[in-house]
Amino acid sequence: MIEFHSVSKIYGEDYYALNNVSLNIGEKEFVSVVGRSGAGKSTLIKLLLKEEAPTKGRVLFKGVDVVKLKGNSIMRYRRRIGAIFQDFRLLPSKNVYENIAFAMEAGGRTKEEIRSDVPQVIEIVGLKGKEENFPHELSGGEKQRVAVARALVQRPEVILADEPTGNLDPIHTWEIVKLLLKINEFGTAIVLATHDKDIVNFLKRRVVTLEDGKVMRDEKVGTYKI
Amino acid sequence: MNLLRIIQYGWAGFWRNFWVSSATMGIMVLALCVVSLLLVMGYITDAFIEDVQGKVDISVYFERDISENEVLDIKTKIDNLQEVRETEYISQEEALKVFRERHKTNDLLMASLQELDSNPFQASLNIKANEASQFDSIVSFIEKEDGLGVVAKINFKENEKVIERLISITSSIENMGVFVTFLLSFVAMLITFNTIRLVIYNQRDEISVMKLVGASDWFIRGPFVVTGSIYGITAGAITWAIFFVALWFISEKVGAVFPGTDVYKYWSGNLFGIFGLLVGFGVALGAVSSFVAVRRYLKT
Repeated sequence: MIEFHSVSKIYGEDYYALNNVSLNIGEKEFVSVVGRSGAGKSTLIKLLLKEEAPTKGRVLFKGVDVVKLKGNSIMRYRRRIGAIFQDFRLLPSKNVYENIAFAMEAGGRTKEEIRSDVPQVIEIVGLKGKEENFPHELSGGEKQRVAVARALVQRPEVILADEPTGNLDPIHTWEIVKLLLKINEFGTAIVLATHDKDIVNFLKRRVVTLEDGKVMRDEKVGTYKI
Repeated sequence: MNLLRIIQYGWAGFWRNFWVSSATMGIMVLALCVVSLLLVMGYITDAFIEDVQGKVDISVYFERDISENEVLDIKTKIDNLQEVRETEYISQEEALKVFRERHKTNDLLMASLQELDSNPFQASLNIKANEASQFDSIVSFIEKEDGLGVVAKINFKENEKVIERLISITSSIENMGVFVTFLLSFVAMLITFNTIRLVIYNQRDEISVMKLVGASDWFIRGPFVVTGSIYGITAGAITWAIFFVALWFISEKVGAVFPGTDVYKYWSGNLFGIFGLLVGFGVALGAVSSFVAVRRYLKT
């Protein structure tokens, strides 16, 4: 589903955030991308979201070259992938319900679809009763659950999670990890960028280890080794 | 469907950021007050110039032996000129009557008048032009028409310098008015644009998140343009109301300084014109500023 072909991302003259990375991620897979800060995890996610373009190489999503997408195709592409970030990136002026519904509205979904799907997703992430709350009225864990719900409501083929537990306490961290596992069981692929050793070792799934922008290890059932 | 959502989000953006909206509208009201002030000043200047010009006339005096019909014939011809606003015929008898009335307390003058056998006054025509600059061509017309030499004197020559000066002052005031209007309107637009730009700058992260979840440029930009338009409608209406009340209070005083003006009547009489202009200007200012300000963050 996702293919990286000899991808490099160079900042400035010679700083390689990613260095000749080749990688395939299949449908329904759960892949943890691990590495120290600056190893290239976030750059990998940014290239997939088309927030950045690679300096060299190709990034494909279901055979389509992401780098070549322009204008409306970018927004249609982004509706097929969900994204979760360490800093939540919620819309502060919209309440929980609206934050989740916004993604569907942006996709031109009908009022009926929104009325039926949003409450379901809110229930899945355990935020029932918080629909009217604004982001500043929520805890870190709750904010991240809104972000998960927003990603999930699009029924994406893959969810990209960039350090989603980085700002959370241990209890909320495990809540989010379990939520991601549940979503994966429903058939959505997950790409989790993290440097949390406990999470990676708990998951017992595929692990891609990055170091200085290069893929050092790619294990089918891996553990955290740096 | 999406248009309705855009309007709803625009409305929500206006209410949920009430204090920011109030501050932005406050700035817009100030900017629109400048525009309103220019409108009122323009009206006062026009009315004042018209009043002064209305007071300037030229008099054509006719030879004493000319019959009234001949004078009235010339009057008809002059009345037909496009440049002429009004003419007034003063017969020899009327001129005498006016003189007597004016100087009835002056015994010496009255006695001198008694000594004369006939009416010493000439029949005359007072001519007012639409604009002071048109007197020249009116006088040329009269001189050309006066083939039989019935015109004894035209007092234009004596007043020419005053009239020329008046023309130069009024055209300077009009030119200055246009320049000041453009300059201050530009400043008002710039201030409003920068205020809205700052408001949207504070929401740049929100815009980038909207892009990440796959919202189209118009779905992101639309609500900001709607909010900007609401700022404009509200600020336009508030400005109109402020001037409505303020001009009601000062109209009489302004009228005393500039005779022939009634600023309150001007403001309330042009209800839809001025209200529409202020609201329209406000909406255009708010919508265009928002449109331009958001564009920058859509690119990144």
